[in-house]
Amino acid sequence: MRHLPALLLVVAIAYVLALTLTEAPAFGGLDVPARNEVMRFYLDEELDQAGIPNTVTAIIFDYRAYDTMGEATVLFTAVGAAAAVLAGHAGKLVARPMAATDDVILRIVSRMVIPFVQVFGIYVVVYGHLSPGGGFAGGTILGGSMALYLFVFGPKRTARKIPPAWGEIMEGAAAFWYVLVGLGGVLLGANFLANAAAGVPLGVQGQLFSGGAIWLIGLGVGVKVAATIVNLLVHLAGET
Amino acid sequence: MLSLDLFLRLNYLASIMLFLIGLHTMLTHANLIKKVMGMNIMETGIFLFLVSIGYAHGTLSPIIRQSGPEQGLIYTNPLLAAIVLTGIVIAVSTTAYALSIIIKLYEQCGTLDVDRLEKLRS
Amino acid sequence: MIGWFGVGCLVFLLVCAIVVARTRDLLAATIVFAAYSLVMAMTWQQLRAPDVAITEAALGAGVTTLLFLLAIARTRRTEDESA
Repeated sequence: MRHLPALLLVVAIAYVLALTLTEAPAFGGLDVPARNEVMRFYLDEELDQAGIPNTVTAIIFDYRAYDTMGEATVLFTAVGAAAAVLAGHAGKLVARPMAATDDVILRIVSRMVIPFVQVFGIYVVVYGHLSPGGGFAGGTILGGSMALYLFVFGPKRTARKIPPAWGEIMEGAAAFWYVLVGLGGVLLGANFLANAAAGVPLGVQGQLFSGGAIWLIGLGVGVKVAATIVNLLVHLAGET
Repeated sequence: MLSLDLFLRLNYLASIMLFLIGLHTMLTHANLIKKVMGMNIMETGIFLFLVSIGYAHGTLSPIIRQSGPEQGLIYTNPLLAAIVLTGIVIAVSTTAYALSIIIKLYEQCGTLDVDRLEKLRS
Repeated sequence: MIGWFGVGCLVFLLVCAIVVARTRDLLAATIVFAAYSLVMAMTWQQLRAPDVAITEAALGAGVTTLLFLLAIARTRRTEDESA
C-alpha cells in the first residue's frame, strides 16, 4: 500500500485538529475571541474616518491600502512569471494552442451576453464603496467578459480585438496610478496613501463620488485586475 | 453532549474536513493538475474557518448606516472578510503560476504524472 | 445556528470535495469544482460576508475554472496515463 504514509499523516493531522475542535469557542457566539476591540474600532470609527458604508472596502483600500498594493503586485508578478515561463521555444512535444469554437449558439449568445456582463462589472467596481464588491471582484467580472470572448472566438481574433500591448499598458498604468494616488497623500503633507488624514475631501456619505482616495484606488484596482486577467488567460491560451 | 457540541461547531468541522480532503488529494494523486485542485480545496477550507470565526448569530453584513459606540455589536467582523478577500486573490495567483509551469512541463516532457517525471530525471 | 440551508450547503461542499478528489476525469473534476465554488459563495453570503461572496463567485468560480480549463485544453484530459 503505497499511500499508507500519506493516510497516516492525514489521520495524525485530523486527530490534532479534532482536539482543537473540542476546545474551540462555540460557533456564532457574540463572545468569540475574534470579536475584540480591533473589530469594534473599525465598526465604530470607520464611517467618520473613511466616510463610506462598506467597512470591508474601507479596510482594504484605506486602512490597509499599503497591504493591498502588495497584493496587487502579487497578481502582477504572477502574470509576469507565467508569461516568462510560457515564452520561448516549445519542447519536443508542442502543447497545442486553444482553438476557436464553431458552435453557432455559443457565438451568438456570447455576443449578446458580453455587454451586460461588462456593465455589471463596471457597476461593481464603481459602487464598491457603497455595496458589496470593489475593485477585485468587479475587475474580475470585466476581465471574465473578455475571457468569454477569448474562449468562444479563439486567441487570434481576441488579439485583433484587444491587442496584447493594450493589456500590458493598461496593467502597468493602473499599477502606476495606485502609487500616484499614494504619493498624492505625501504631497498633501501626510503619509503615503493617506486619505482623510491628508485632507482629501470625503464628499457626502452615500453618494457615488465619496470616500476620497478610496474611490480612485478602487477604480485603478478594477482596471488593473481586468487587464491582469485578460493578459493571464491570453498567455495561458498559447501563442496567437 | 458531544454530538450537540459538534453540531454547534459544524462550520469548524466542515472546514477541517475540507482541509484534510485537499491535503489527501495533494499527497496521494500523481497528476499535477489534480494536486493543484487539492491545494485549492485546502485553501477554501482555511477561508471557511476564518470567515466562520468572524460570524455571530443575529448580526448584519458590515455595511454600516451610521456611526456610534454601539455599532460594534450588531455587525459581523469585517477584518476577517478583508483578510479572506486578500487570500482569495493570492490563491488565484498561485494557481495561475502553478498551471503555467505545468503546461510548460507537459510541453517538455509529455506527461503530468509525478512518478513518470521522476523516472525521466534519473 | 445558520439554518438548515447552511447545513445543506456544507454537506454539498463536502460531497463536491470528495467527488473532485475521487473522479479520474479532470474535465469533470473542474466542472464539479466550479459548482463547489458557487456553493461556497452562497455559504459566505449565509455567514454575512457579501464582499467575500461576490469575489469568490468571480475569482473562484470564474477565473480558477477558466485557468483549469485552459490547462486541460493544452495538456490532457484524463488522470490515468496507462498509454
